[in-house]
Order: sequence, then C-alpha cells, then structure tokens
Amino acid sequence: MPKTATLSYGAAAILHAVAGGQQFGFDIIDATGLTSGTVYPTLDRLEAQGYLRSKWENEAAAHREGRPARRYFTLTAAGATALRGALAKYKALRPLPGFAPEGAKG
Amino acid sequence: MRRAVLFVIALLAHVVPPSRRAIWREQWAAEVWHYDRWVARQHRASRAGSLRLLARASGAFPHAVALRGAAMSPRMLLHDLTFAWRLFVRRPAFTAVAILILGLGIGANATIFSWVDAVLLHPLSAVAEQDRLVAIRGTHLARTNLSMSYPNFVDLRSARVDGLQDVMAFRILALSVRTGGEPLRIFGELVTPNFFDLLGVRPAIGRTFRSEEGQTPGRDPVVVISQALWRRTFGSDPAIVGRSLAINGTPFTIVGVAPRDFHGSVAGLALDAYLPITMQKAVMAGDRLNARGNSWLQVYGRLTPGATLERANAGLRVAGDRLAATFPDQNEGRGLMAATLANDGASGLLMPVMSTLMGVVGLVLLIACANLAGLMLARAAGRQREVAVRLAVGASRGRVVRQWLVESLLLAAAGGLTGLILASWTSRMLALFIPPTPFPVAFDTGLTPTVLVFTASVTLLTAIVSGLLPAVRASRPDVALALKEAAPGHVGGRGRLRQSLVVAQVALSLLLLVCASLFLRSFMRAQSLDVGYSAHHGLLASIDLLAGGYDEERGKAFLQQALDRVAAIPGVRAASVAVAVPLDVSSGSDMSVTIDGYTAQPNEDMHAYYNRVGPGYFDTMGIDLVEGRAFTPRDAKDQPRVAIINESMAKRYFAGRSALGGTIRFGSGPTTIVGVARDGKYGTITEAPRNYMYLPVLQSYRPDLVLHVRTAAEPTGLLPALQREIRALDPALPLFDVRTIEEHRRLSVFIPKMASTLLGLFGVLALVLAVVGLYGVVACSVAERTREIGVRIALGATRPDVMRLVLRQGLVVSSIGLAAGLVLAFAAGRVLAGQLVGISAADPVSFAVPAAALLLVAMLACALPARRASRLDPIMALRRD
Repeated sequence: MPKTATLSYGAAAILHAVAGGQQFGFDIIDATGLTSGTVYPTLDRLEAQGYLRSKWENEAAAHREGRPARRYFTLTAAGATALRGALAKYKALRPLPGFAPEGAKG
Repeated sequence: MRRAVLFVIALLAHVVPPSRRAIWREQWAAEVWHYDRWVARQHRASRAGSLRLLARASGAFPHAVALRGAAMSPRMLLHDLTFAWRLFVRRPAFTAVAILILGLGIGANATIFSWVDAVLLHPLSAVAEQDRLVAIRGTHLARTNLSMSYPNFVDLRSARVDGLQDVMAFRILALSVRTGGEPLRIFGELVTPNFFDLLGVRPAIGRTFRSEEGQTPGRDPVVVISQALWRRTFGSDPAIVGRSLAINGTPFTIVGVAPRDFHGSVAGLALDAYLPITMQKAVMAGDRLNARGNSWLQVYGRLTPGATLERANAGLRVAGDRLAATFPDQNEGRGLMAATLANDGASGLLMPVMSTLMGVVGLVLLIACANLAGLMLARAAGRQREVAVRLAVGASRGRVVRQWLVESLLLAAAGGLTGLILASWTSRMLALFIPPTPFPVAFDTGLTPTVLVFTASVTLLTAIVSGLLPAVRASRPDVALALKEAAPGHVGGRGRLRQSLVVAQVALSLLLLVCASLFLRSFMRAQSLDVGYSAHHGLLASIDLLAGGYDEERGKAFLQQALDRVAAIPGVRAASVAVAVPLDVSSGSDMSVTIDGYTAQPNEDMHAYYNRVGPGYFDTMGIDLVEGRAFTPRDAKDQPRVAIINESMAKRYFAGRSALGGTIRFGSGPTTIVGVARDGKYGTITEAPRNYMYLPVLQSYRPDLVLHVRTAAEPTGLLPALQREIRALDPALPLFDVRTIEEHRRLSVFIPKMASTLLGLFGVLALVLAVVGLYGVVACSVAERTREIGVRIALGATRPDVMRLVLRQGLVVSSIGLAAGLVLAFAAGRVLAGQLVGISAADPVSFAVPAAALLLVAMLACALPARRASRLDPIMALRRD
C-alpha cells in the first residue's frame, strides 16, 4: 500500500506547503525553499500516489485578468493522512492548524 | 528573456511523453509567465533578475526528464544504457573526443557560473537569505546612492517602514590594532547593534552586540573580530572572549568571533573587526553621531517575508518625506530609496564583465553542442543500417529517438563530470585576476550546491540540444534504401545539415574572437591612456595620523617635517600628500558648491568631486596647471582659503573668462580659485569628464593621508630610506599599503585585463572547436565522395583540380560562417561599447585580424583532407564498394 510508505522530507515539505494554502508550483518553491527541479517532479509523483489532486484554474477568469491559467494542487484525504504522519517525523516543519501529528493532542 | 525560456520549453516538451505533453507545456507557460512577473516586480529587469528567472525555469528540465523516465520501463532504459555503453567502448576515439568537447564547454560554464554565484548571486558569504537584503540609499535632487547620517538613520529605524522588517547601518574604515608588538593595519566596520541579527550571522565564539551597546556614545568599547584576525593575532586562542585589543589606541574588549566564512557586509571585501557605532569617536575624526547633516553611513534593510522592493520603496518614500518635512534645514530635497545589493561594492564593479563572460561561455557551450551534434550526425550516417533494421522489425520512431537521447545523455553526463573536475580547479582562479588592492579582498568561489545544480541543468540541456537533432534525423532514414547494400550518394541532406552546423560554429567563434580582440585592444589602450598624471617612477604609502595619536596642530607640523625629510632623500624629485589617489576603486568624495557670478538652473547638479592635497602635489603627480599657481606651504589655515579646479569645471562655470580669482562657496566662507589644472581620470578610466577641485590639506585637514613620492629612478629602492625618515620622526607610526604608482594604476585596468584574458582563452577554445568541426565535415565528405573523386581523376581531373574542389567546399562553408559572424560581432560590439576604453565598438583591426586568422586556420583544416583526396588512386577508389 502506498499510504504506509514514508515520505521523504521534500515530499513532506511540499504536502505541508499545499496544506498551508500554497497551491502553485511557484509559491510552493518559495514556501519550501526547495529548488524548482525538485518541486515539479515531486508534485507529479505525489499526484500519481494519490496524495495531491491537480486542477486548472478557471480559464475564462484568468483570461479576464490577462494572465494564463495555472495548474493548482490540493490535498486529498490520503495526502492529509500522510502529512499528519510526516509532521510527527519532521519536526522542522511548522505545525499547521488541523494537522496535529497523530497521537498528539490539540 | 521570457521568450527564450518559452522557446526552450517548447523544445523540451518533446521529451515529455505525448500523453502528458500538452498539460506540461501549458503548466510551464503559466509558471514562466508568473516568474517573469515576479522577477519584474523584484528586480526591475536587472540581469540578476534574468538569472533568477533562468534558475527558476530550469526546473523544467528535471521535470520533463522525470516524466519521461516514469513513462519508460526500467528494463528498457537499462537496455538502452547498456547498448549505448557498448557503442562507446567500441568507438573509444569518438567517445573521448566527444567527452573532451563537452567537458571543456560545461567546465567553462561551471567555472564562470561559480564566479557569478560568488560575486552576484551570493555576494555576502555566510549571510542568510540575501535576496531579502536591500541597500537603502539617500537621494538628493538628481543624485542617488548617497549615504545617510546617524540621526536620520535612527529616525528611519524607529519609523518602522512598511515592507521592511528591520534596518541597520554600518561604515567601513581602516583601523590600527595593537596587541603588544607591531601595530597592524586592518579594515573593520562601525555597526549598529542589530548588524549581525539582521544579516542572520551567528558568532562562532562568544556573542555579538546587545541592543544597549548602541545607546550611549563611548560607553561600550567591545569588539567582534573575524576568524582570520583571531587566527593571525591570537593563535586561535579558545579563551578569546574577554581579552583586550587596542584599536587606534583605545582598548576594546573582545566579546565574540565571527564565523569563518563571514567577511563583512560589502561584497568582495574581507573585514576583520566590528565595533558598536557608538564608539565612533574612538576610531574616526569628529563627532558624527549627532550631526544630521553629516552623511557617512551605509544602510541595509531586510524585506519583510513576502514584501516586494516596490512596497519597501513606497514605505521609504513616506519616511523620506517625513524626514525632509521635520528637518528641512538638513533634509530639504532629500529622499530615500531601496535597491538590490547586486550593484554594491565589488559586485557592481564586476557585474558587467561577469555578465559578458556568462554570455561568452554560453556561446562556447553552444559551439560545443553544435560540434557534438555534427559528430553524432556523422555517426548517424554510419548507423543508417542499424536504425533501418530496428524500424523494419517494428521499433517505433519514439523508441529510436529515445535510444539516441540516452546515448547523448550518457555522453553529456561524462562530459559534465569532466567539466566539474575541471571547474573544481578553475573556479578558484578568480583570485588570480584580482590585483593587489589597498584593502583585503575575499571571494568564496567554489562548487557550491547552486553551482552543482546549475552544472547538472547545463549537462541535461547539452544532452538534449546536441542529441535531439541527430536523434530525430537518425530515426527517419529511408528504410528501403538504407537496407540495400550501398547507398553512398544519398547523404546529401545530412551533409547539408552538418555544414550548417559548421557555419554556426564558425560564426559563433568569430563572434567570440572579435569580442576578445575588442577587449584586448581596449585593455592595451587603457594601459597607455592619458589619465592626467604620470604613473612613472612614483611611490605611494599610507599613514594614519589619528591612529598615531596626532591632533590637527601636531599632525600638520608632522606633515611639514616629514615632507621636508622625504624630499631631501637622494633620488627623490618631489614629495607630497593627498587624501585620495586618483583611480582607486572608490567613487571619491563630492560636495555641493555655488559659484559667484554663475546662476544655477533649477535642479542643476552643482556637485564637485574633490581631493585634499599637500604643497608640491601637482609637481609630484606630474599634473600640469593650465593657469595660475600650485599650492604652497603658505596656504595654511590662517590664510585666505584657496582652491584649484580642473579644466572641465572652469569651462562649465567660467565660460569665456578666466577662472582665476573666481569665488567658490561650500561649507563656510568663500574660497578663491588660484589655479586651473588639466583634466584627468579620477574614479574610473571610463568616466566622463567631471567637476573636480583640489583643496590644500593644510586648510581642510584630514588625518588619514597617502604620501606621494616622485623618484628619479626605479622607486622601490628608495623605500628603506623613506621608512627610515618617517621612523626617525615617529617610530610608532606605521607606513602601510606601500605601492608604486604603476602598481596602483594596474588596479584601474584589472577588469579590462580580466575580460581580455578570459575572452581570449574562450575565443581560442571556440576556434579550436570550430576548426575541428570544419575538418570533420570536409574529411567526411571526402570519404563519402571517394567514388566521385575517383571518377573525376579517371576522367582526367588533375591533382590541383581535386584540391580546389575540396578546398572550395571548405571555403564556402567558412565564408558563410565568417559573414554571419561579422554581423553578429558588429551587433555584440554595440552592446559592449560601454565597457570599451579608447576604441570604437566597430574597431576595424578587432574585426579584420580574427576574421583573417579564422579563414587561414579553416583553410589549413581543409588542406589535409584535400591533399588526401588529390592523392586518391582512381583504380582503388572505383573498386571500393
């Protein structure tokens, strides 16, 4: 089962950033401090593993604002579970409201 | 820039499996669009901004490759790899040449990028999150880049500007330290107590400053020293905290040691001591902490996370306006602005040459790629049958392209590794170009993680650029034809492609050679350029009378005696002192002036740069006076104030009449012009003529001075006598930064020198690559046309006929390349014009010599195969196949 597989720090940091509201590759790079060469392939891998879901912005809305539509990512239920597990392991990641490590209170 | 990136991304999309290609392309187009916006907001389209855009967009490579990798079964990939490996082992010569070509190209890129990384991207080593650091400068009417006074800084900090987390101030200065023995000359910084915290630097030992150490003037004689000083002076004593260090005669207590790779807050300088700003009076003349009109501090700010430069600038405008409104006497017309650090210190100095070099090594890599693509195309001709068999038994074209890409990837990886090995050695060579400077210099160049990531991306790019074209070509042979026994005549199309690749190589290498010769000739001109003073047979030595414990009266008396004694040394023709030496790398001091009888336009820049000089200065430096007289010892404090101005200033303010007897006003009281000196170069050799004034140092005293000595013969021989005379007056006063004027002059030409040396090196590398490529094309076509040439000879063509036939082919290819190269070089020359000294960007010699040399070498490269063709035995040739 992929859900029991442990996440690398990079993958955990990316899930963490997505959970924290960063939905675009660009913002995820800024939030995680990872290089762009790590972030994009990992996003695709996390999507293939079912931890993330990607969608396109509403094209009409983007065009109205004179910018191209971007692909954005959201956390799946499996991703949220995996992130909780990872937060317990990687203490360097800032705790997020609603993502307390498993077993911890609050 | 964005268009170029999008183009590469469109190319790269072919690597992505077709099922995901469209999504991938759209995703990256959108990301690049947003990067571009972001860069424009942050960096105002500076070159550093473009570099950042590139760095961000480089993620497209690993992304595309990862997607491709996921689509490939590992077994197939392994199969492709083993197949490629076997091919390379079977053709060791081809493999070695290819790896060498790529190694040189990638190595050159890694080397220059490691310099760019150290100089432009991470100029302040050990400082955290440098992209959030900004320099905050004062502005006054049309002038920018001004320093700030301490009271203004204090008010700015307490104003809590929106977009800025915090601000700090510092001032670099020379210090004389003593721990017992000889006094030692070092450079340090007076800093506000939040200096280290704002930079994100933690001490290696002890502590940095507490906030109360920036409150009461003179109360806290504490110092943080550099690791270098700790090692040099204290033998790395682990119990350093609490020990005492005498700085300019005042005992300071050492409270901490900075981390090893922290060298201070200005790019390229290696500083050794950090003192609280409240200790200013102990180490610097005057009381500057209370004078709002005295601007002497540099200020850095840290942007609030997520804040842009624009937001900070908006906040600073408000703060600046408030300062001007509250203190109109000192701040009328003044404002504040923030800028990136990229133009600061040595970074600003090296920025143009680094950008040029980065472009140049990019071209070298392009040539290497074209070269390798040519080699692989030649191989494609030999492997037509193999490919045809694969296609005939049912392999898809994609499968064949992938096989070829894996081969070029393997080659590029080996080349990249070679390049890294090269670069690990050459990246340290930046230091070789830095001439002896009056201040210590440090650049931590090396293979940092950023450089490794860059090199890996370049390697991938190389694999794709050099492999894609041959791969696509190889994957569509005419199966039926190729499977037949012999099809020697059907290589025409591929031959043309190879020829165009050689045309491109010749063009690009001519471009590089022309740039190199432009810089070389500019360097030669710069060395012989008339800078307004004579560099021949002169000696400079610095003294610091404040550190030596002299007040103004005693200092002046000392100067008189010292100059008399030095002038009496046999072999000395003249001697004087001055505060600044022309053409040091600093921009010099300036001040606002008014001229009696001259009405300034509204907002006209009325600033003049100035130097304070001793009696005999113009004689000593060989600066001619056009009018009037030089300074004498009688131009002293109790006498009427006098000044000598340069021709530019005289022309501007006294058009049509003599400047002699004219009155200038600055600071307090009128100053009479007694002489006009010939124009010179004061800051840099490329500067435009500027207003310049000389003031007698006896009337406007400064304690930190440079002794200027003009000698009759080679000057270094007189150094012991010079030291003896100064020591006889004061045994405790050190002479430091002793150098000849010629050595000093070299400082001003080190950038043109560096540019011409490196460009020359890369130009020759490009030339070699292009010539190898040309040789390959001609030799290959001779081999392919063996039958045809045999027939010609059999039908009566003479050996010279055959020679001409082959040479003509080479001549046509290289002539087209030359023509294209000249056009490119002409365009490049216009871009480089600002960096050239004394020659035009269309300098005919710089164009003609490389073109002729390239043509000659190209003909030599063709002569070899031509000779071989002319010696063909027609019977053997016809019997082949």
